Amino acid sequence: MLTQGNQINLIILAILTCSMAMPLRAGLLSLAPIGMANIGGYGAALLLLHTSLGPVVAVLAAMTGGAVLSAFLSFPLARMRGLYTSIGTLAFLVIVTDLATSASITGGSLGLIEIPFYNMVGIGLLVLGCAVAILYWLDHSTFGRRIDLVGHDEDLARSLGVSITATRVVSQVIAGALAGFAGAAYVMSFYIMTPGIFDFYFAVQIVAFLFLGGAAYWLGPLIGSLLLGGLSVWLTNLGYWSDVISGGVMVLIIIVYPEGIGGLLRNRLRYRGWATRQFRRGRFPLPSAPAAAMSASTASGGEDQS
Amino acid sequence: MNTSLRWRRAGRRGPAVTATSESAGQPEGADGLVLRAAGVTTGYGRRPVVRDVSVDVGAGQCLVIVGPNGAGKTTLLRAIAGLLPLREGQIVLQGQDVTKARPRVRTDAGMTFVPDRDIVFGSMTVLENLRIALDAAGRRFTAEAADQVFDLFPILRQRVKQPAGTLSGGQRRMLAIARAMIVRPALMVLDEPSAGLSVAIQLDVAQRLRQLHDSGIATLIAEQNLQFASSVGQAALLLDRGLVRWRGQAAELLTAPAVEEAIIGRGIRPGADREQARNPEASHGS
Repeated sequence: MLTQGNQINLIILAILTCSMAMPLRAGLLSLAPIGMANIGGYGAALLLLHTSLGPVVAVLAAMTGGAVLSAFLSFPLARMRGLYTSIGTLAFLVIVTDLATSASITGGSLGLIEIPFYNMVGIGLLVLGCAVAILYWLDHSTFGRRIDLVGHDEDLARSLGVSITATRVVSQVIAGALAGFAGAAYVMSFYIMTPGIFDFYFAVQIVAFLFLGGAAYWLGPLIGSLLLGGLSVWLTNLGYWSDVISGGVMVLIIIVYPEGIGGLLRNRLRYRGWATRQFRRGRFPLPSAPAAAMSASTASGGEDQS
Repeated sequence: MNTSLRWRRAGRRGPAVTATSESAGQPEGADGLVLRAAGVTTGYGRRPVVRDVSVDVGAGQCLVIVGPNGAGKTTLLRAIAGLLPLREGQIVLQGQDVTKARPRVRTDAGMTFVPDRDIVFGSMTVLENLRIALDAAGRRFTAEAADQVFDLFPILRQRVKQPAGTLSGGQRRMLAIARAMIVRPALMVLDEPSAGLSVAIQLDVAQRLRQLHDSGIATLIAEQNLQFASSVGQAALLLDRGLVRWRGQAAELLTAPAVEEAIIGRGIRPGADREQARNPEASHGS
């Protein structure tokens, strides 16, 4: 069975994967949430170490900080396109970790230690549930479809009257708040915060989870992070080989199914919605419908005769 | 004119939608025009691509803009759709000045734009493509709304569940037009609707477009294919190197010398070589 440390680790990985899925749906492979996890982690740690405000305030401050900073960051990012936006967010992540390494208040490269411990598993599961619920909402709401439009084709979305900036700002603010929570949950569970925890390599790992799970379907990020995260926890005893094996699994799945596991699931379930109900009611007859209609009419005719 | 055929907007929210549904009887501006673009100058970077072009479209009218490659047709349409800022000039949509307005304001005022390429969301199904247009406009998708566009494009009804990326070129074009139709626009702006289509499909698309402006929707079309342009349009305008060179009726497009020179080129009239072969003496002197 998983230790408590492993549990909270998996929850944090899953929350961060879900948070990175939101900007990705709007066409933005953003590493900014990992930067926000740093902000949340250091913010919560400093509040807990130097003030007596307590854990609730620390967590809320981390989430607010992540959200507000994401909002500020999303405006310069809105001026960039495609790959350049990702590089912009990478620059942000590098700046944050560099600042944490060089500033004295954050303890330099040794980081902050002896942060008070709180059991974050319950609240972590709750926030993860919220994150998955938000992804579900994105899959099933008008706003979510607008975000998907922006992700598919910016110009076409604009010509349909969708605001690129508005959809991207909202998706990044939600992602920032979730990432801020993940950072706070980490420091409150593991007593320590250093610049090496949420760094570029960690971001690459989350991106791998995201691609494995697929951002196109609401359960995708959760599946990807639990599967690959769980695999790496399970294979921990193998040392470096665990990375090789989980990397191999990832490459295999991406070759076999480029849209990720979530994409596979979505395509399976795609027609279980509004459209299918309309089909069943016969609103949009398929090409084979005339035959069906004929057999239906003969059946009713038979009833009339009897 | 023809207001009974004009689709009424079923507004769900947003003041602009309500305003349009109230004014469904008289949607045009005070001058009776759906679109009035005056003295438009725009472009990319330092050099203007389109210089001082004025375009007026009334309700139920169809204006085609013809011109050779690089004439500025797409640039002009993108500026009208709000995807490109104007350098000079003014754009009035249904009596509302939208010169500096975002694309959203223009779609709320009743304009839809169909670009020339990448016109459908390939990974979404046909039905999802139609649905998102209403979602983007903040309105509800109903089976009735879908039924109405399916009546105009029966082929799409058979393909509702198919991903749009697997449709043929003609079907994609029809889907893009259907997606623009479903929001019940007052003005449709189409960029090269005949591009990449076979002649038979072109005729089909042309007929659908004629049905559109017969039902009272104003259409503005940029087109390079003169046959297509003359069969669809009423008024016509020749754009060459960013300037208006000729204005007239669409029916005259195939015969107007200015159009022929700009699009076909000087001295390369179609059939000229055959004429010469048949009658060598007549053309010898010239």
